[in-house]
Amino acid sequence: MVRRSLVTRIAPLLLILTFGLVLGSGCEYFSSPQNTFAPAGEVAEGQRDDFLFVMWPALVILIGVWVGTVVIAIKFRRKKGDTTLPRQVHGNTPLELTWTIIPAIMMAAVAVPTVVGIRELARDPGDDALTINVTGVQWAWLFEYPDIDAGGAPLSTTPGELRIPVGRDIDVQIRSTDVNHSFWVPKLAGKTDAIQNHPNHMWLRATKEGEFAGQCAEFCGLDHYKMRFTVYAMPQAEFDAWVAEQQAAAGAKQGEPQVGLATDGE
Amino acid sequence: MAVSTAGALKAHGATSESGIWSWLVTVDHKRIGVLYGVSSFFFFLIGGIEALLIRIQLATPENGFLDPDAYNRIFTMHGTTMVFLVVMPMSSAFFNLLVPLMIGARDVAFPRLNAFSFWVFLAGGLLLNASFFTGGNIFDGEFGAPDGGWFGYAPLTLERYSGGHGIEYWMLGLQILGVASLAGGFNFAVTILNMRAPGMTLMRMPVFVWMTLVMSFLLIFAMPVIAVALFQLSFDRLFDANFFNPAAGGSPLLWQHLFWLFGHPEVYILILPAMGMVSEVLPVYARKPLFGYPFVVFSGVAIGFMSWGVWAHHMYTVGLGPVANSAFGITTVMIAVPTGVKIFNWLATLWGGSISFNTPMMFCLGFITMFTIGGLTGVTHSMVPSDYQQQDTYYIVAHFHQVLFGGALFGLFAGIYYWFPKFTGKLLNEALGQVHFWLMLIGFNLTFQPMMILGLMGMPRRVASYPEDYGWDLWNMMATLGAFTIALSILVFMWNVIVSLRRKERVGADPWDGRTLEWSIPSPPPEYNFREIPHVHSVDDFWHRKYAEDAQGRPVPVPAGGAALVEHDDGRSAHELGIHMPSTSYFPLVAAIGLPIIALGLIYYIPLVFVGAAVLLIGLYGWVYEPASE
Repeated sequence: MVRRSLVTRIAPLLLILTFGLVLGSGCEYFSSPQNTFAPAGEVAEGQRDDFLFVMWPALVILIGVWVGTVVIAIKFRRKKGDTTLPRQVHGNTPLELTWTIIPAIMMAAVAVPTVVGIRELARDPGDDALTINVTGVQWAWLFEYPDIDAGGAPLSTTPGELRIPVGRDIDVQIRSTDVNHSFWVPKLAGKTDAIQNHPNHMWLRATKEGEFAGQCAEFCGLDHYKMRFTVYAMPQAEFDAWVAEQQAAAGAKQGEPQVGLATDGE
Repeated sequence: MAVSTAGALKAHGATSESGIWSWLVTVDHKRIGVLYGVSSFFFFLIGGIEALLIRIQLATPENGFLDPDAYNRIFTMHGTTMVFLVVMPMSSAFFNLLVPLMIGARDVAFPRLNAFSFWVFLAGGLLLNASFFTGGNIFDGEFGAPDGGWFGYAPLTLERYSGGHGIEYWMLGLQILGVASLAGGFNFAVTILNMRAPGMTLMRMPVFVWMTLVMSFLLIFAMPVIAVALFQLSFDRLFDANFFNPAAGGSPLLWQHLFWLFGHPEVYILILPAMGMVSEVLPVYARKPLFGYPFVVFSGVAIGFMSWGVWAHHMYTVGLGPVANSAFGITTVMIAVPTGVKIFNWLATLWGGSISFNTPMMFCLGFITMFTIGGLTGVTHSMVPSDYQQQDTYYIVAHFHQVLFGGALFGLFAGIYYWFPKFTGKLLNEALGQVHFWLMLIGFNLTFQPMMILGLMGMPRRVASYPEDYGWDLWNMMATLGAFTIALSILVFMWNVIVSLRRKERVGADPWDGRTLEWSIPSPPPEYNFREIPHVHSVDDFWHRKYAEDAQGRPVPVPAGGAALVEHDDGRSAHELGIHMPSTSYFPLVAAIGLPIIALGLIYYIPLVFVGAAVLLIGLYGWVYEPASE
């Protein structure tokens, strides 16, 4: 028989303490510019709800298994001096069928919102959608608006900065010119990979104004960890003003002679 | 010439001898098992140190402990090492040690092929790790190890994006390890199907043997898939082919499909043996048979089949389209069913038992509770839309460590504590074992549960550093502290092994009142295992020799008593007893040495390939024409 040492007695307490620390460590640690639980877009919101739809029942099952394990372990522990052997039960087919079939039904229940959600995310963006071309390169994100002309070429942004209007579907066309990358703005929508020769697309729709952090999510080499970008979601009017400003600047640039750099910083 | 030397050696009867030479030429499955165990533990320490380096780097934001280049190489090697050089070979150690004993055989079907598997594995593992030294001054942190991640996604692994030789060591090292796995897979499938003692029908086999059989078939079918992918990558890198080069019309997605078509069965290759071990250990300490043996066996078989239909859940975000994503989402959710059956059957095994909490049992309970987290987080991945968020974040890192550490590794440690006395004749220290278990459980939770939170808070995987104001600091620091707690627990384990081996007292054949055949022979077993091949009449045959059941289903000891049933080792050798045992051979080792030479030739200097091929052929030639002893 195992001698119950001091360690064995203290250890469960330590374990509980660990979990306590994790859970009680303060709410500010649950906020992050990339927190998927604080969505600011329609897609991310749906994804969080889908996650919770599975997470809560899973948590209940987990606690059930844990409590079950501990209770069984305590209830059926071998008492000191006990030399008898328990009844040799080999199985119980109806019981086993039950715990095969019930989980199978529960799992099938997960499949329903899964398929619905996949179809919803695969839908075409609305007619008024703004199209954006996203290109992942080692190690930066390039953005351009193929339908907005700025001085004879599609309007493009400073690498790593994307501006979008709030409340409007954004049709994101994603490609790569080198290795695999993955376009991800956690607060707005889940990720889609950028793969050379395999153009992908997704849609997203910001529901709140603000700056949202994004980051490459597919390992792409040396500076993968630095491949961040920011999405500025703004009201349509503000966005239109920014576009007009960019167009004017591009037009002015085009009018200038081809010597030296454009000097006006306005 | 070489053949006659081998003949002279055999006259010596080298198997029962000690000394380094006897280990180099051994074909004894128990010795090969020990070799597998010791080498995989050595690689476990390397992989563990890599994990600690990763955790030091990520302990604080904007840390400069490792530069990104070194970080990328180290995390690549951590993953590759833990999968291919630790969990797989540590399971192989147990197949080698246990399968022949559990099925009442004197050795595996192909003893020399078995030795070949081990030496090839060791050669591949050493070759892979040798890559560290090819990058310049290793003490300046100039590592030459591969930098493409354990999953090696093309085109990042092509020469254009990853110079140096790291990726080449990786692809050729894995190719060599694949040879070892394939040889082992065939060997154990044939051993289990053909070498069972009389009366040991398939449905009387211990669950561990069943899981080994399923795993062997998974190896046989999965390794060729990765072999094809690695050959294509080798041609791309070494001979300018374009399988994965998108600039020339090659397909990066082809690599992903091939890798995960191997990679997901691989997950079950890693976990099934541990599930088998838990199914052996629980009944012994609960003093009750496994609840629903056929359900546990068939759920394992079902997992084996279903594991082939879930690979694209690693690829939801690559743009396969809604139909493919729906199909793979549904298969992923369904594979949870047979996994859940095992958990429930294990709990039902405990129900009504008379449970002792020895260290092996504690690790099994650790397995059940921790693996369940891994299984349930796995279910959340089948919710495809939300997985678009979790894919490639720390949530995934947490998930598969819950499966492979909380599952496979806890199961393997249960196995180590349980079967250690069988092969050494000494018990591991119980108090140190409990300390090891609790430290490891605490360290495990402290390391990997914060990672779940990190993932949901948007921290991607494989980042060499992260910014300060992202709210990830505390969780990362916790994970680092947890990793060091785990390291401490491993030190306790190593200390335990040392003091226990030095202990004078020896245990008998059957210290745990075991149920399966390996406990019916002396500890450690003689080279021939069974003096007389047993006749098997039921599942848990040894238990039924010791106990009969009364009308209420309670066991009553048979009059002769268990101890009398154990065979005694009177020190006579197999030869003296007239038992034919396979003869020792160094040709498997010679043949195995040829493979890394071929690999080095492919990397550096093609003519060396012919030298390696010659060594391989000499080894195989000597092997084939080696005369049988006597």
